[in-house]
Amino acid sequence: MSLDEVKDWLHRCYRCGNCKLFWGIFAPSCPSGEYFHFESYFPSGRIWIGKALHNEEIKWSPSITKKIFACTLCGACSTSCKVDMKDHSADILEALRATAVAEGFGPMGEQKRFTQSIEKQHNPYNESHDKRPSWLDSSGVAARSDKPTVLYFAGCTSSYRRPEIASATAKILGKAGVKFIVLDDEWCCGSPLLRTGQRDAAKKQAEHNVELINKSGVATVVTSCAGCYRAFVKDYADKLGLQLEPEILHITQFLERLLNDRAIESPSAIKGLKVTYHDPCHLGRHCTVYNPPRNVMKATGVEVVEMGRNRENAWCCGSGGGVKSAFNDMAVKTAALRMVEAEQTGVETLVSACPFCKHNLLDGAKEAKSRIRVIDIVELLAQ
Amino acid sequence: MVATSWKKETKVSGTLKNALAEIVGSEHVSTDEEDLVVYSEDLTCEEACKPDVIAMPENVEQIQKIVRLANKEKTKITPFVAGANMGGLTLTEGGIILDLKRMNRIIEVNEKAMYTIIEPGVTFGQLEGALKEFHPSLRFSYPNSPPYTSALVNTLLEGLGNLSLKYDATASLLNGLEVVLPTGELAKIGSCAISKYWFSRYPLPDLAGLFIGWQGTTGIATKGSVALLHRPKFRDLFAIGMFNADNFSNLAIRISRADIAEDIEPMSFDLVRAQIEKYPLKQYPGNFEVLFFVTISADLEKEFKLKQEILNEIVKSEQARGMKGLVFAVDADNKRTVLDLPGNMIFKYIDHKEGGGCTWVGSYIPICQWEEGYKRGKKIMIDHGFSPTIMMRAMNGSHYAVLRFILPFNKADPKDVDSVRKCMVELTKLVLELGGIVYKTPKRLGKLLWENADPGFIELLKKVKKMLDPNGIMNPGKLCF
Repeated sequence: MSLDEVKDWLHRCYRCGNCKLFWGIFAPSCPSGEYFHFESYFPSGRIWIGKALHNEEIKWSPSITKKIFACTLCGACSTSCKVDMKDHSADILEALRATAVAEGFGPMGEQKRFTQSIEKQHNPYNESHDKRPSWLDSSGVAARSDKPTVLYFAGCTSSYRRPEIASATAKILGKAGVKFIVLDDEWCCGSPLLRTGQRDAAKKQAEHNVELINKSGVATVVTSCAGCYRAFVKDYADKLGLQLEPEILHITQFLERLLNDRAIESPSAIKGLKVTYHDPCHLGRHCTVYNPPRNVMKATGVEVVEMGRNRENAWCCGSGGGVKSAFNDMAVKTAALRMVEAEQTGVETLVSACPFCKHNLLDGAKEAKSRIRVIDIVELLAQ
Repeated sequence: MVATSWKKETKVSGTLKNALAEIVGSEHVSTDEEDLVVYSEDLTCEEACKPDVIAMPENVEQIQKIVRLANKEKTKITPFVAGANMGGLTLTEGGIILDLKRMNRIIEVNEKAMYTIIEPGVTFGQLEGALKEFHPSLRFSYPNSPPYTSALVNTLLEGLGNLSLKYDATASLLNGLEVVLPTGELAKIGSCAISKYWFSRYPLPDLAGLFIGWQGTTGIATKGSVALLHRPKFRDLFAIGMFNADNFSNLAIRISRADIAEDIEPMSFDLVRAQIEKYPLKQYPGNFEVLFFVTISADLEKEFKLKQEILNEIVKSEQARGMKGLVFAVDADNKRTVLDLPGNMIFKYIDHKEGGGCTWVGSYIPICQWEEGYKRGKKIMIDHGFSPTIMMRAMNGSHYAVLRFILPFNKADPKDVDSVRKCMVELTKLVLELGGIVYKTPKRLGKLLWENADPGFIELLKKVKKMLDPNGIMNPGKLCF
């Protein structure tokens, strides 16, 4: 995507400031703006930078790259924007990132490293591709069904950094009698590449996954990762022109279905537990999946005490959009603010539904010296 | 105004940048080209002006150091919070933009004495969010501006709010200030200079007037105390549709004298239509000309119903006297648009021309000139190719009124930019001819405001400015006298 494709929108931002706060509750909404403070780190500032670049008032530079890539792409700005710009601000940022890459000014150095890792090892963590299914071996669950109905897509973070999430998911599926498989050769969904303006590189990953998934013959693909979920349900078709044949569900949606069908029981250990829930941006704001995780917890006797900023007004964990790699301090400080907010609910457990959120929120908990336990919803149910 | 020899170079000296970095930290200073560009313009049609450097202080001591540095370097300072000002008051050619966003603490809310002490970076949205959560019986007088605009700055600029019918412009709600003077000293104004309570500007010499209405040219307010107001239990909006603009001031005056309303906000029907329809608006005969909104509130249901009855009686009486208008029902969503402030009304019409630009000629005008100002202003707007989107408000018991000609325009179209500038000149002249005063005047139009002013007034203003700001560093050029 180029700036030319969005040129009709570059002058349409008024810098009214709505993108700086959540509408209605008027609490801060922009992680990079709150961290760096300058106007250029807020969405309106980036749009005006885009306008200045397109009008050739300024030229690409490392400092511009920094501002463009310091955004987690959480989408809070689009939710609060009250003019037609709201439907185009994400496109403008994507165009800026793609242009930065095309002009040789992006992505950030640390993001280039994960790009190379994905291209070589099909994961952003520079871990061996062969080790990807290791989590399954230690889960004690077999995922080799003869007539599988479900394909579980673990994703990179669950496979390499938060294997407890993948294990817990597999255990729940196994207990529920779900005939599921995992891909023999699962690659990165491509989301980190898409988010950093590298659409062509993302397509290579996606094409591989689409071929294998469509060949599998399953009716349903389930993933624990909000990022993978968003990539499958939105980006593969809209941005890459690829069609996944099975139904795509996030694990929370699948769990809701299992509970409704009484295929799983609520663990007695969690009945009456009070938790707070962090809406992952890719699941919530981007794909409007707010109720299934809440319904799952309610059905299992867990009481959700909402944070002030929840659902479409959820504060981002701080790690998306390539920010965790290139701006780790910002990511951790953003997560720390979320943990402070969680503490205000008075609960002892924060539940989320994305391994990348959990990963960064744990770092945030350390930063904030928070005693709140951070777990994924599947870990809650696997107790 | 005294001018000194400004640093004319567009690249700020490394010495100044380093000196600022030593005060606020290098991560809070920027001379990046893209930052200077982002701060160089705003949503108005005023010319882009590129500052030399942006600095973001965190506390009073840092501001004082920056001010002393600016005096030493003879470098101008322009305070900035949201940059959404319709007068282009944060645009500056060269100098330091002092972005005060980091100073955004609500320091205290005294619920019984009903005031709050806030820093300049506290926005209306932030204030209302905090009040609703922690002090739900209290509210402020909110303007129709975006939620992300500074509450303290609005009071210093004598802005209007939705309780201005009872409490006048928001400057009247200012109880006290802490300011850094243009020479770097710190001063407290009001009861806070004597007492630990920031409850009033009286009964002391009222020096707040040295900082109110000066468009950021006499100092930097680092704290302000603003009065909070009671949030009533019952509150609702009533609408009268008027078929002409002949006598809506009579209605406002009668409602004010009956003391039944907390807000009277007439607006052109086209302002309402611009919230739904894009430019150009087709004109249909028989439409309303003005929609006259009245907000009534009370704590007791009896009182609320009685006020409603009185309003209906007044309307009937005015109809009997020839007012061509009728009461009509407003649906819940549209009521919220008017009632819920900080709110989204402005966003509904700001994009009317889909152009990323909006400005206005806003004025305070004697209420006896309301209708004529409306009618002639409407013609000027139409003649220049703009929809006549006009907002009004009765102020201070209808002693005077707001007449605001709102001009969404297309920033990407030089012709439209030229049209809006010309339109603004004519509207400004109209207001002044009718005896009104334009507010938040951009410097491009400031000369018009002052050219017929009392020479003694101007002389006094100049003396005060020179006394406070001998080097002329504070936001120069924004007063134009």
